[in-house]
Amino acid sequence: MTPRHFVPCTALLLAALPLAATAQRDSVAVDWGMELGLSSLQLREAALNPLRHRGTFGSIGLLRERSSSSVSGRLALEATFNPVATRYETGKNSFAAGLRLGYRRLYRIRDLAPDLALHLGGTGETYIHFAYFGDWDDSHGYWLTAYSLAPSVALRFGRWTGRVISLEASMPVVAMVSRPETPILYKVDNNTFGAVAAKLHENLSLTSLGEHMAVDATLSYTRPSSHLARSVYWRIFWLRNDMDHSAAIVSLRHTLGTSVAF
Amino acid sequence: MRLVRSVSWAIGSGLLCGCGITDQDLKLAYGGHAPELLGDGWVVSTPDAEGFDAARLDAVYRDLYARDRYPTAQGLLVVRHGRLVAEAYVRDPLDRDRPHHLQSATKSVTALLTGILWDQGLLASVHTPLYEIIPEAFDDDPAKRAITVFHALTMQTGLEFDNDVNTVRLVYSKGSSLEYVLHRRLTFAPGTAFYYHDGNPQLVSGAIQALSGMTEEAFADRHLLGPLGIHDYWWERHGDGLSFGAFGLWLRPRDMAKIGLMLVQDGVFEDRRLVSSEWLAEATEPHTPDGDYGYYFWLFPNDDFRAEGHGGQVIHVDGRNDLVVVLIADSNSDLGALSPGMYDLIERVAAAVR
Repeated sequence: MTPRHFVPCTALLLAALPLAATAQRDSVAVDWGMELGLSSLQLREAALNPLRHRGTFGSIGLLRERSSSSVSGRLALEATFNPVATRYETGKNSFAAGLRLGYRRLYRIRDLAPDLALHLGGTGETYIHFAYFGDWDDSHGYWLTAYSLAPSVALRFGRWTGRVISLEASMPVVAMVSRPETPILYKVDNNTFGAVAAKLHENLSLTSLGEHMAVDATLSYTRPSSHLARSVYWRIFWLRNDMDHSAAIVSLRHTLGTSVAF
Repeated sequence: MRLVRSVSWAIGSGLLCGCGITDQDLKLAYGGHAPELLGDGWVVSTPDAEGFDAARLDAVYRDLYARDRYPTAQGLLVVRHGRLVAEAYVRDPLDRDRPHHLQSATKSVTALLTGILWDQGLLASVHTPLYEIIPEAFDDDPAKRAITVFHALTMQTGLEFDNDVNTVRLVYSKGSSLEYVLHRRLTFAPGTAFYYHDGNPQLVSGAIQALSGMTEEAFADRHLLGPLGIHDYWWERHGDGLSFGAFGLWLRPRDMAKIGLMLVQDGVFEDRRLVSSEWLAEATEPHTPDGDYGYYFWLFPNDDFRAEGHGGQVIHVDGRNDLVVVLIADSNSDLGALSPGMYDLIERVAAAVR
């Protein structure tokens, strides 16, 4: 897979939204929203060294939700940026940036209690993580690109049209993943845009839980959308990838944020 | 409600506590520094036998292993009287057996190969204009035709080249790498100032190829690396086939030490002269206003000199003590930011000589 596949993959995800919307028959609420969060990242990139990098900064997201009492579809784009450092560094010349574009579709399966519903469904997602560790390696970028499919589950407490406490989680079972080949045996990366885009899709391989594991869990409290601050959420995104041609990467991100409805 | 609370608490605390990413040690526990006899041409010895204060030398290695000092350091080798006296790899024992990126220490090897070219009569003089050797790579600027091999060897060509920007562009440039360097504008008249960059050694690599009829790598293999018994190495090339003369060489640490041994023995290795004494004398003489740079060698008091590359790749030659010290470190790291003072280790090795 090359960068030229990125566009079709993304287009496929985008195309899924109207398809999902047409499948809904009962009263449908449509929301556009924006998320702003404080994001704390821990990262261990074994292709670089075994140290933990960490740092706190922010995330921003854009989402579109179409939901009824029985089915919901959510298209979300999230960008994160974290200056990071190890225990050895005084300055922060390293950063990790992430971009996630995903579509999640959930069906209300059963009511577990009068105000508690179990939803099941799936998530298709593109995730690009890129890190540059200026003090440790000023010549190469480190990345993980994943196109993944994940079963998703949600527990929603509250009336669907009112205040809702929701716990959602998903874990990819299959993914196409690109990681840098190690050891890195060349002087310097080509840093032109096209070359970086190509790099992000180098050695793209089909993988599954044995090598690629990610858990995305979000606990949120949502008010009716007439309020500006529509919801607050705490999101945990944990990822571990260890493929044959590369070194292991482990990352854990906590994001505490709020979303506003347009 | 209780269920939601229980599940969220379980997941939350599990991820918070159970899946927190732990910090791991970069370095191994102290494992001594006795070199192993591998049958690779190296005679091994002990600090005592080669005139070291063993305790002082051991203290150097303990600092190399120290968890919170010099985090980018990878290995240190000490050669005295032609014997490998001490050797340790503090990050990964396999570092001993795999080629390591020399970065700009490559430049010193390029200077040695230029000397061999001169010794063989293929290069008439270091003052030969590069225009006479690689005219096809020049543009129309007549001032550039005054650039000589000497100017390139001493970083005095005057060509504008910012390593932070132009090195990556050189690596990925289309067409001729020599043209990429030579088509840059002159910032000062050749020979009038010192301006260190990766473009000049590329011109020397081009000159070596033009004069010898083979790439710098092939020339090195035949006349330097091969005779030193160095076979497990690689040398990065530009798309035009030219070896990168400034930073392209990867060598195993023990092979870096072989180059140091040949240098400390004034160009001779196992009774065979590889580089003339005259060239080495010239290459390690000061040729710049600050007096600390020869032909791609950094110069130090007491006639010490070294090949040195980004991040802390060093072949240090101390002729007075018949001593070679090789240091390797993360080859793309910022030495000043992460391991300030790491070069003190080299001085402390010399100070441990009785």
